[in-house]
Amino acid sequence: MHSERIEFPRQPTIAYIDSFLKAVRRVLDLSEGEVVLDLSRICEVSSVLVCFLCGLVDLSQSKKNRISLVLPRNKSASKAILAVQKLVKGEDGGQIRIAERTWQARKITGNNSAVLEEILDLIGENLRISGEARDSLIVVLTELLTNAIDHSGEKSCYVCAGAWGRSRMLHFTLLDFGMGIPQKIRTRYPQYEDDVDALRDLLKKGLTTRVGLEGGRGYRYIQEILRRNKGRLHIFSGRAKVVLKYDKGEYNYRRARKAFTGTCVDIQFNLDAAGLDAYVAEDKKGDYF
Amino acid sequence: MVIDVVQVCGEDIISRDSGRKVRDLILSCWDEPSIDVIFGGRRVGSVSFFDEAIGLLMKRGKKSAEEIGSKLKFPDLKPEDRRLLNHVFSARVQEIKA
Repeated sequence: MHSERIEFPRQPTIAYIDSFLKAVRRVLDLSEGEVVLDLSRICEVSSVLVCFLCGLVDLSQSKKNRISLVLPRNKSASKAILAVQKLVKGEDGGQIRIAERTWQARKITGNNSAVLEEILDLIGENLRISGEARDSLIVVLTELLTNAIDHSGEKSCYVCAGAWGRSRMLHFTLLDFGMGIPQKIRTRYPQYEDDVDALRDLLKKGLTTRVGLEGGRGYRYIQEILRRNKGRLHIFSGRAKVVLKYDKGEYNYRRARKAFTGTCVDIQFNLDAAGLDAYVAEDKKGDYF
Repeated sequence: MVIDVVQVCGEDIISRDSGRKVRDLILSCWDEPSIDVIFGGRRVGSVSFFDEAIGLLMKRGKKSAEEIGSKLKFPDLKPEDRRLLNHVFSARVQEIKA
């Protein structure tokens, strides 16, 4: 039986996205084998880690791989990962729903924004989220969800949201193993041979992948809200790696050496600010309803 | 005339596909003097849905902003959604005028 031992980095944050993307490629290449997710070195938990763990467990099971987890040596990280271990043992009954005090993870299988509201409600029980911040988050997350469900071709995605330590930044990761944004863009615009160019124009020009239809507005709102929120937006899809740090004014579009079949979007949202209110007020054009 | 969005679209009241269903329904009963669009207390929070359902009544349905504004009523729309709807709709109005 073939076996893959996947080691996770000490700090499994979005900065180490390459190790997560590589893990997906390794699991995709293995069928009826054994996957060992080795978390022994990690010393913290992040939304991107939890999201990828949920996805890797699900992906492994769909490829009929046996899967096991090596728990972190770090006690607090180990305690947090216990919830994920239940998925590995199949104690989740096919559902992925993890509800911890400061973070939440789900597998979402439809355009149901009630799940997003539930996540924010539960996190809000332990973390102060103002009404304005919540409104902005709902708009951002709703657009990300519809993009993942409508455009990936997979009709499901993994989400994890949480705040770690004393940070006032809410981290939200959304992952799907669909065709990826650049590939989807090429179904309408075949001239976009380069994945980075496709992502850049999606974000800057508002390309829509809906042939003969309107669209492409969601990412405009996401960007305008996060810009005013001084948050961050990361998108990894195909061979494109986009990192927009509105808090630092750093905007990077890079090309990955290997393609990722799917899309991972990670946002960092400043809970002490909002974004939507300011955007609507600055851009107000009149009320009709 | 009342259009119950949750009854028409089920749990999905955020996607463009659902928005299109609502737009088609609005256009099919356009001859009614007034159309109430209700959401059953649900939060929408979706730019895509509002744009497809209401914003595109101008471009695709060939209705004027004034007609739409006077005919459509949203009696139970949450204040934050109303603000978002107005913003999305007015962006379409600006495009038509440009």
